[in-house]
This record gives sequence, C-alpha cells and structure tokens, in this order.
Amino acid sequence: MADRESFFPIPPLIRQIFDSFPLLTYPATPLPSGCPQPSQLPTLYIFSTPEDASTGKPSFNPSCLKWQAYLKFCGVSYRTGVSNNHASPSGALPFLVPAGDAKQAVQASRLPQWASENARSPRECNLESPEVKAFLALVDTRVRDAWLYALYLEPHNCHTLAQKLYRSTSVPAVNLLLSSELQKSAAAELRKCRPGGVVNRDDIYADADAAFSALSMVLGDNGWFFGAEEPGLFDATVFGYTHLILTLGWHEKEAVVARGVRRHENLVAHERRVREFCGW
Amino acid sequence: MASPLPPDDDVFDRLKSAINPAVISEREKAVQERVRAQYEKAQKRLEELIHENSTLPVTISDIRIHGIKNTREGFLKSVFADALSAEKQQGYTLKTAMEDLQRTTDKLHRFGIFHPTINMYLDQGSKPSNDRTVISADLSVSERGRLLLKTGTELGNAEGGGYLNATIRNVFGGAESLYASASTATSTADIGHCARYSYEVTFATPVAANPDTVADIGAFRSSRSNHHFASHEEVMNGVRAGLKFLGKYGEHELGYTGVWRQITNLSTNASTSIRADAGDSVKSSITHTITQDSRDNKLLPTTGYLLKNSTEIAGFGELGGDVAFIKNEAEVQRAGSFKHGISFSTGLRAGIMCPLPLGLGDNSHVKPSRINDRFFLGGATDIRGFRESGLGPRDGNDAVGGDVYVAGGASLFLPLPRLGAENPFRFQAFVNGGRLVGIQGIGNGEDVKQGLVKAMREIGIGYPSIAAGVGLVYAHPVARFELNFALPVVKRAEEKGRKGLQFGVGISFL
Repeated sequence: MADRESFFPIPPLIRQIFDSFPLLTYPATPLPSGCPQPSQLPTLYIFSTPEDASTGKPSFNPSCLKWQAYLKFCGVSYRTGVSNNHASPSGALPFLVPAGDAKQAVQASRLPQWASENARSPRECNLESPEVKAFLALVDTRVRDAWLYALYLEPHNCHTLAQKLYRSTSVPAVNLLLSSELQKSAAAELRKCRPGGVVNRDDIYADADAAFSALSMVLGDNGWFFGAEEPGLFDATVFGYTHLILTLGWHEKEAVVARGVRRHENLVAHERRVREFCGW
Repeated sequence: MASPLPPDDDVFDRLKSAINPAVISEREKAVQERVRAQYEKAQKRLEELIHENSTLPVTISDIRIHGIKNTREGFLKSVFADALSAEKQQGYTLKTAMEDLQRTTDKLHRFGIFHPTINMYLDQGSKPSNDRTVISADLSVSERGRLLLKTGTELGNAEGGGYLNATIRNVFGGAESLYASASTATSTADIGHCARYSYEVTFATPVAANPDTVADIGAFRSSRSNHHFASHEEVMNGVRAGLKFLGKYGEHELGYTGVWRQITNLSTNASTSIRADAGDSVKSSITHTITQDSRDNKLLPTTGYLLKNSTEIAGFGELGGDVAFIKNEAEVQRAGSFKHGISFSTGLRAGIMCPLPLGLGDNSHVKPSRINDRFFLGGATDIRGFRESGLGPRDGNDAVGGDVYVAGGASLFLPLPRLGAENPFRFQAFVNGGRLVGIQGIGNGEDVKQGLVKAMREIGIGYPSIAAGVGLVYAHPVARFELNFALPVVKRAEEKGRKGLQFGVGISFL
C-alpha cells in the first residue's frame, strides 16, 4: 500500500477501514506434493539419475562431481537431487539449496565461501599461488577440451554416452533436438580458443596427454596435490575429470583420453584415494 | 359533340406557360403512389400465388450457381446434395422446397467464403415430369477475397502488444482456410520487456461440406513470461489437431495436443518449488470440450445460461510424454434481468486434476503434478480483489498453483442514472471467491485416491477466500473493461489480496 500513499494521502479513517480487511485470515495452504519439502540437510542439485542421486553416488558431469567431492572434503553432510541447467541461479549445475526453509540457492562459484561459513575449509594448498593457478588453468582448458571432444564430438561416444546420460524428456524427437544443441555448443566451446576455429582431434588429445604428464609430475609421490595435508579444490577438480575418464564406458576406438590417464600410475592412484575418501 | 374551348384559351398557350410547382409535386406524389400501389399489389399477388400453391407438388430439376471462381464443383454438389436427394424430391411441396433451398443457402453463407448477400430466383425447370411441377433455382453469389491480412494492437491483463494475422480462404476450393498469426506483447509494468510472443499456423477444413463440422490441424510456438507471479518464463512448442462438431447437447470439440514445454529464465530469487519444475517436459494429451451457450451477449449477458465442461487426459497408455493426469473443468453461468435495465450474472467454476500412473505395466508409477499443468486462481478477470494468481498455495513469493479448485461469483449490473440501459456502461456490485488446494502425499507411498479425497475435503473446510466490491464496467464489442474497488474479506495467510482499485480487461469473466 506504500505506493498508493505517493499518489494521494489516505485519510486515517479510510486507512483504518482498509487495515481491518480481511476480516478473517486462515492459516496458509500447504504446498502440493510436487514441491520439495524443506529438509534437514542441504541439497546439492547435480546431473544424475534419480536412483544414483538418492544413494549419493557420483555424478556423470565433471563440474558437478568436482563440487560433490569438495563438499565431502569440507565435511559437509548433504543429500543430492537431480536437476537441469534451467533451474540453476547461474545457468549451470550444480547449485546448493541450504537446509531448512531456505529461499536462496547457492551457485557453484560461491560454494567455497558457503562451506567455510557453514562447515570448514580443508587444509589445502594455497589456491592463490601462481603455480597452482597455472595448473588449474591447464586442467580447465586442455583436459576439459579433451573431455568435451571425447564425449560430444566422437560419434559413437556421443550416441552411446552423451545422448543416454543427458536425456531431458521421454520423447525421442525432442531429445534428439536437445542433444544436437548440446553437440553444437560443445563444438562452439572448442572453437573459441583455437586459432582459425580449427578443431584437430590429434592436437586436442596430444595437448591433454601433455597436461596429464605435467599433473603427474607435480603430484609426484605425494598423497594430495602440492603436498597438502588434506585434499582440496585442486584435488576435486582433477578428480572430477579423472574419475569419469577412467570409469565411463568409452567406445574402444575412441578411448584415447582414457589411455592417456592410465599411463600415469600416480594419477590413477590419486583418483582411487579420493574415491575412498569420499566413500564411493 | 365536344364542347367548344373557351374562346380566350389556347391549348398551346396553356402548355407553354410555366406550371405551378405545387401542382408538380402533387403530380409526382400521385405517380409514386400509383407505382407503390402497383408494387404492393404485385407482392400481394405473389404471396397469394405462393400461398395458394404452397402445397403444389414440385421437384427441383437443377440448381445453377453464378459467380463461382475458385470453389470446387464437387464441394458445391455435396452442399446441395441433401436438398436434391431423391427421397426429398418425392415429397417436396413449393413451400418445403423453398424452405430447404433457403436452409442450404444459409449453409453456404456459414462457410464464410461468400459475401453475405446471396440471391435466389426460382424459375421453371427444364426436365419434364409427369405429375409434379418442375422448378429450378438460380443462385447468384460473389466470392470473398482469398487473402485477408489483419494487423492491430491488443490489450490484455497488464500487457499490451500487436499482432499480425493472415488468412487464406478457400485454399483448395472447398472452404478450407489456412491461418497464420504472429503476435507479441510487452508488459505494461515493465515496458520493453517482452512479456509474450506467439506464432501459430492452422489449417482448417469443413468435413462433408458441413460448416458446423470443422477439422483443423496446426503448429504453434509461444513464450509467456510468468515472472510477476511465479518467477519463470514458459516456452512452448507444439502441434495440435482437432475436430469441432454439433451434437445433441451442444457444441463439441475434440482435440489432440502434443507440446514440448520448457520452464526457463528463472528470476534470481525463484523459490525451490519453481527450481524443482524448471526444465523440459513433454505433454501429449487428448481434450474434449462440450459447450452449451444460450446467453444473449458473451461479454455482458442479460439472459441465458452457459454450460461448459472440458476434460483432458494426458500421458495415459500410448499417449506417452512426461506427464500423466486426467483433468476436468466445469463452468456454469446464469444471467437474468430485472426491470429498468438492471441485470445480474452468476457463475460457478470447478476443476480437478488427478495424476495417473506414467509408463506401462510394472514400470508405472505416479508422479506428482508439475507447475505447467496446475490451476491458478485470482486476478482482475477471475477472482477480483486478489492479485493475479493470488489464491492458492505459495512458496515464498511464487504462486505454485493447485490441483483442485472451486470458484464462484455474482455480479449485479445497474445502468448509470443519466445514460440508461442502452449505453454499454454499467455500475456493478459483486462478490466473488474461491479455493485452490494441492494434492498432498503423492510419491510418499500415499494412495493417489486418498490424497484426492483429502484435497476435496480440504476445500470444504472453512470459508473460501472471498472478496467483494463495486465498480464500473464498459462492455466494448471486443472486450469488457472493468475498474473495480474491492476488498478481500476472507483470505489465507499467504494469499495475495488487492485492496482498492483494480483494472481488468478480458473476454471471459466469472
């Protein structure tokens, strides 16, 4: 009613009459069953299947898996739910809905801050140091590009993996449309950082191999990257890719990137260590 | 012997001299009288002739239609097949033959491909017949233009915009039509932000040359911004096919719709209920609507009643899709008038949506309803005194809709004192209310039927949310404009009432 005041002042008698309405107010109507009930635990919404999400199994999307692992490193107990990109405040999964009657969803980039406020921050390596930043960039460009190519642009993998995993509806025609859009946007992402927009399969896999070698060298014999006491964001980022690269059922002719990881024993061991830490 | 002319009067002189104007007008009047008397006599004679011969047995030898350019001959033949059918020919009298021909001419008119004036002449027929008089009919028609382009602006609830329609009439010569439309609207609360756009293409054809039975098929794409009450935007792409026909109890409409909906573009403070339903879903459903409308005016009725029932089944069995439910909505409206131009109108609406098992056989399970399919209640054209979608369950600021509702209203219309009952302005006093609830417990192991019964019982607990007020109504031929002052009298804690002035534009009100 405040905006009405600016147009003309309401005499107090009228205002009194207004305020006495409604004469009778009942308690709120409960929400229909399609609406999620407020829960005791925070909920992390990821790409997953309903069965996997209810048991807390790892997601099939590297970005979601990274944050799933990171929250476990922070000691946050949470449950997982299935969602899609449209639901996220940032336009991309994952996002977190805090426990209780929460109204604000927390997007992925704000998760470290949220975790430090509501649980604890792990004793990890210094994420601000230039070396760590450089290696993070390495993972986020070369390894990610190889992942995108292997999943979306290799024909058999796209058909047997990408289309089956990222299925939005139960109608084949619509799914075909959506997965071809996914493919196009993956190809556009790959073209962005390449000179001339030329995407070369061998170059991408060679770059990824070089990145794996570098990561393996920097890991050395340590338990966690950069000799940290506890696994942190960097470990989660690497794990997000290595776990899926090693466990997804790639087509035999298109599993170059998996072979690239398997060549480095310490990376495979790191993946196993993180998996055991998280209880998967 | 002829009497001699007066000596000083010459015939030529009399002719040459100017005639008195009064005499001229009298002469003209006399002439007109005579002509009119002759015409009236001829009409009367024709009427008598027809009346005397009304039981004269006739048979129609042929019907000739002049002025046809694009219409198919086969189509015209089927239009007139009934009038020319063998058994009717045996029993025709002049009167019934003329009635039948008149009825068929009306049918031609209802197809909408000819100009309104269709002239019919009866003549003597050419075919010889033993005992019946033979007549033939000549119809002269003029076809309407093939292409119709319409553009304009339109006003809706808190939005205004423009549209462009194109209609191609009589596409294949059988009164089929192809209709394409593009329209866009911007929210008047946030100028520039596109509130809605929609594109549509429909092809319609009468079936068996009957203008009341129309089959149509089409595709559409639309996007609607629901940010102001539910923090999201809904994009729809779909196809539909339908059949309209007249039955014993009213007009029927049967249709199939397959639509891919996407809830996207959520506001930053969207609630978790909206986030849970964001994304893609496909609905494949069959709808049936039956309407019986005897009101004199759809916008401001003063007599008559409306009975309407619409049923929708989605996702059942072979239909497929991501949602499965059975939805039914019924509406009853009654209008009447008292003396001095005072009239009233009351209406009652109810709807129920029950989810069905999705999938076949052992894999089937019942999923709860999605926000795309639920009912919303409240607004200037719905339940006045509440904000748009102001009734029913809410999560934070977002209306999530409900599965079962009941809504009713009564309005009394009084003509304004100085303007009278002929003027489209009315003063109205109204009371309206409703109740919207959602079914609980689906997916938690509770039986759907139990949940439905509980929801229906919940509606009966306590009073419905009610608002009352007075206002001014303007019944323009295109839409009804209302400016009301309303106060919510009973409401639920989270529902959004609107105290004070509320403006509404619409074509169907409770």
